[in-house]
Amino acid sequence: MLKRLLHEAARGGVGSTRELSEALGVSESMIEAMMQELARRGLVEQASECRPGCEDCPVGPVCAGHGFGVWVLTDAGRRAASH
Amino acid sequence: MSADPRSFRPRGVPSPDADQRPILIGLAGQPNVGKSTVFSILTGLSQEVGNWPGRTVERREGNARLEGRRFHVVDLPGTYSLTSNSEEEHIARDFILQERPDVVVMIADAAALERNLYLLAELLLLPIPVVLGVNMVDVARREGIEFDAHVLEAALGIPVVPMVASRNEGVSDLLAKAAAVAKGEITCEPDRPEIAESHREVFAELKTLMSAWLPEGVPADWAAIKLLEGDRQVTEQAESWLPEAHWNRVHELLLAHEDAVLDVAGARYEWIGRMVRAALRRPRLGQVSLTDRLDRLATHPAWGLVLLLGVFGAVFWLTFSLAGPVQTWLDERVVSSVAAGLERALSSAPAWVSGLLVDGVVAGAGIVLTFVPILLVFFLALGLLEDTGYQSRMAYVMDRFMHRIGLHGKSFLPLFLGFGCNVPAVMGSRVIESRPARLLTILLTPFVPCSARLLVLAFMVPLFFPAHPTLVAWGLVVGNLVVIAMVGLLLDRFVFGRERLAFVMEMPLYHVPNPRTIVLLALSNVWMFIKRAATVIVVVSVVIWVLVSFPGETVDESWLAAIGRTLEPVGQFMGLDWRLIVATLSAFVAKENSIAALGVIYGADADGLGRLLQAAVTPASALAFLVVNMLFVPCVATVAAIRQETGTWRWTLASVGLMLIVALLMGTIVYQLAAAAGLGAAGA
Repeated sequence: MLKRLLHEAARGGVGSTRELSEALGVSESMIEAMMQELARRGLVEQASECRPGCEDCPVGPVCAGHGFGVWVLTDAGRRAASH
Repeated sequence: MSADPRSFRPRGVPSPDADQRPILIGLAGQPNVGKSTVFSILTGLSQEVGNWPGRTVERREGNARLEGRRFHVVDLPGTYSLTSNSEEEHIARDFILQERPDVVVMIADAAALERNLYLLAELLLLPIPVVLGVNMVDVARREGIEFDAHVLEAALGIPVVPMVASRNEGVSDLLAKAAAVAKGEITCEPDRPEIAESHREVFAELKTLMSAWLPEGVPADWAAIKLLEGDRQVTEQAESWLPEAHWNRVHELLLAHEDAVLDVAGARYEWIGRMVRAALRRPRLGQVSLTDRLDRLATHPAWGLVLLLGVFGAVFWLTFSLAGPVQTWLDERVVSSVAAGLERALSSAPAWVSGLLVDGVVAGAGIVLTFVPILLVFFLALGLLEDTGYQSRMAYVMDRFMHRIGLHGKSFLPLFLGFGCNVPAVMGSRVIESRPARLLTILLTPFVPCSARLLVLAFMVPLFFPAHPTLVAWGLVVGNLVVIAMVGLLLDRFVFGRERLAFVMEMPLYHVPNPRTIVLLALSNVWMFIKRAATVIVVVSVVIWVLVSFPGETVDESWLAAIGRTLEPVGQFMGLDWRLIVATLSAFVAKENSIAALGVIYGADADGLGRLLQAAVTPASALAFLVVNMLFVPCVATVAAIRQETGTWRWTLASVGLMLIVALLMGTIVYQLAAAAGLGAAGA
């Protein structure tokens, strides 16, 4: 299941957890739990965390990176997906 | 691959029935599931706190009593799994394997059961019976999640107790079930995750190789599984447990089955999926189907983009319609009154003092302060988009669009962050590992209209085009996106490779926004903006006032006019006189400065400024001025970020140069086209 998720996520471009849940036939909560599992294994990471510089930004709190999660594959994740 | 918990009994330790010793309970669970609350209810004042032997992690234990039965409860550290990733995970599994409780009670969060059951999948591999307490069922119910304890119990093959620990509901039942399991009154026949077909053979061979050599109490099934999933501690220990020949074979098998690491964990998630499928009903069907219906439009490749552009237009329309009248009132009643009062109060002071305070500080900062209604409505609109869940769809649709026009997938995140602020956006390019691709993304990022630029746009457009502000602002944003696409296409075609990076976005359900959250967010942002106006913008206003007031008697004889006139030969292609050129230059410090600069240069308040600008600037020049301001060189903070991220001034200057060229080019094209369309005369 994790392998399938990793392969689906590695296809390129942007996918949503909704699309992945439909592709794998599981709930979105399950996809989120599995993404966290992949993150614990260093295969994906949260990419939308606020970057340095946001503290001084007048529009930091409503910056587009806030309010939802974006996951990105790490180098290890890309290697694992390509196997 | 299962150990039978019914047959397990700690070696040399009689059953709790035999000597009336307390039942030993290991209380397990992931962090933030209410485990500490359960522990406190169970043990009350009998709690003892110390450290786990040889560790810095706190060990809490205490005694409980129920219907004459005594229990000793050990609170295990909160862990996501029992793999040796952390000290807490070591402690939890060492306790179970070495101290061998009579029963493990695992607490799970009903609202996050899929995530929580992963730990249960690992616990069930150990030869200790488990009772599952599903906590916070009230919270889950409020989130629209219903679960059937009986169905889950039947699926798992272990007792399941629904609880609300914060209200002490279900805790006694949990303890009673734990006692019954420990005493063998309830039989557990747990369903456990299966090993993937492709690894069953190697799993069996690993078990055979190790079974005779494992220390007492370490189940062969568990050790083989842990080896397959790459558990560091078990792998190191196995080398010391096994004879060299056996270890060499084990090592060989593990190298040949490296992919088992994900398969083992993946099988647990398949098992979790099976367990919760029948037992969970989530979330509210109505809400899901509403989200599905809305997403059919909002995330559609074509209609989603149309909706996105419509939303942009609506935000501007709302901003101008609601904030415009308030802004006029604020300008007439507050800023003008303050300026007039200050001028009267300073009538006996030297002219330069009055000029500095009234025409410098008040004209500059005052104009920005009349910004407040626009800011408030703008931030309220953005907060509404975020709180309803639409913001993530905006990102999703934008990226689809970028891919369609051939833009680099890796540029998505920095470009999207750029709509908030270009500074974190430039830094966000760190996600791109290839240096050429990263540099080119950095070049592209400052073209994205940041919130500050959008705010400046929202303020300036009604000054120049009071009759059609929404249409003009919307057109400028769309035009800006087209420019990004064009520059991106050129970069992608000639410099970028077509390497694609995958992103997975969490799409929250649409929900009714919380007005309190949105208002607080908007107010805090407006306050931050006012503080900024009180510092940088006032300083720049004063500097501009000095440059505009000296050395001559009139503005046309000022230092600023002299500076601006040296650039007029360039500005004439875009219909920009020295005033508009200087206002544009002031945006380099911070984008908002161009507004204050116009106020100081024209010596007017917001209302008067509008009338002066409409009289002095032709629509063609105004359009060119707005286009140049949208695309002009990045602000100084962004330039600093580019320098930091590229590590060289060469690329920093390349970015500034690229933007300058594109801004001047687009400004010239827009001016010439507008002039050709008859917009080249004042009042056209």
